[in-house]
Amino acid sequence: MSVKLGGMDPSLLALVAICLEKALNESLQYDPASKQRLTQLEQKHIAILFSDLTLVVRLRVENKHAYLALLPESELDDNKADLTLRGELQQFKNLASDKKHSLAGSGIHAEGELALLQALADIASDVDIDWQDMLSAKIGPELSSAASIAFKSLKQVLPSFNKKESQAHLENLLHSEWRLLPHPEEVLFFQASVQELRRDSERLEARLQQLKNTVIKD
Amino acid sequence: MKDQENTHFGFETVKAGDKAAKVADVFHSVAAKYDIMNDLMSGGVHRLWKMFTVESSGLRPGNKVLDIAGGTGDLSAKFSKIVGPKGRVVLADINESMLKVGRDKLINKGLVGNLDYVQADAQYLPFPDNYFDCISIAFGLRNVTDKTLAIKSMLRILKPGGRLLVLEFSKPQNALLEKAYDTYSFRLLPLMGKVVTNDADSYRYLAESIRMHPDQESLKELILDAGFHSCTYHNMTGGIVALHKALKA
Repeated sequence: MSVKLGGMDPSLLALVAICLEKALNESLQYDPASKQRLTQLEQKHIAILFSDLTLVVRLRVENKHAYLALLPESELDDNKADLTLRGELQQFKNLASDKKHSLAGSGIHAEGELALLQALADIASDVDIDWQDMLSAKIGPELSSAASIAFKSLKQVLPSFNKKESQAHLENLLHSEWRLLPHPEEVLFFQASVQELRRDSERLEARLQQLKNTVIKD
Repeated sequence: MKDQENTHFGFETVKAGDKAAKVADVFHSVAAKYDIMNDLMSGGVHRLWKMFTVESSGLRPGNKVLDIAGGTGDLSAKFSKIVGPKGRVVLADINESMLKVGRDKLINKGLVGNLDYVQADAQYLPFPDNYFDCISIAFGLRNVTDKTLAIKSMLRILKPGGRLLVLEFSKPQNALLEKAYDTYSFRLLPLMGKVVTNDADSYRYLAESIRMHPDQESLKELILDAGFHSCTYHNMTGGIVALHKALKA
């Protein structure tokens, strides 16, 4: 069941668009080559209709700044774009993950300046954002370096990450850990021992204070 | 005689001929702090309403757009970037103080070259027939004495296929929201006006004028009756504001 995002309050759509636009432009600051390639889209309007979501995403570029808008489907025909793509969200996801980025057989319908599609594909495939530099501006160079190392390690592990195997591993792990857990009665006994120890130490502390006061008086 | 007909100025009934002067006084008073008050009163949400309006305009490089009651130039600034050096943006306002603030603000932002400033009455627009690709009027229509006359004037100067965008306060679609909105408008707004601009009356007029403005369907009928081919609207923030979009055949 798909959510009709296009039916949302336009002020909410505008808020999301502002956040996405800001994130997009900030990211591109750390990939000057992609930002330069944006000039291929200068003064052009691209509209992407997600038909299952009844949502239009409109992109335009002016002075190498990307402007993003989220609009209801009804706005698509009123605002003619240079390139319009129509399809479902899953179809666009499949297109993005397809290495050849081929429209044929994707189910996505394109109309307008198809050369812009090539320009978009070029930009998308060659994006190389310097995430470490971007993070460094927010959290400092040391933390961003550590995060970058952790992320690269994760990237190496993920391809060999097999869902079924990992599920079996997780089950084994949970089972082993469960067996190592202490019995509830053991926990209660331990808790009672700790409380008794606390009481004894408080009594001892009081006696020491009393002795100290006696010594001082003398 | 037309001048002797009555109209509303907020909740007050006044002679039609007097309304423009009274509205002028309000905007002369608020012009200097208009932008700050907009942010304060709407919590910054007015920027989202205006963003949606701009993105719904369908403007392209080279287009000509008229921003009526453009005041301090929020929409004109965005239109200027879209239409580019080959396009034209005309910021029109009946109020000299608002126009001056708008002009100075846009010049300070470096927006020159494709912007013109005109002091004009929305009811009698001084432009040729079939001239503009798009006309916008944001939070200004409710201040116009004769709305039908103004909309007909806009129709005349729009090109065939051109669009009119009317962004205006409207009727909340939810009873609970409407009650909260009433409390906010009639108690908090004048207080804010008093504290920030030392002018509670102007902001009381703001709240009252919103209540006297036609609701979504009534305004749509008004626009269609004036001669537009089609009209649709989007409710924003629960209907507190609506964007009406009309096309000239």
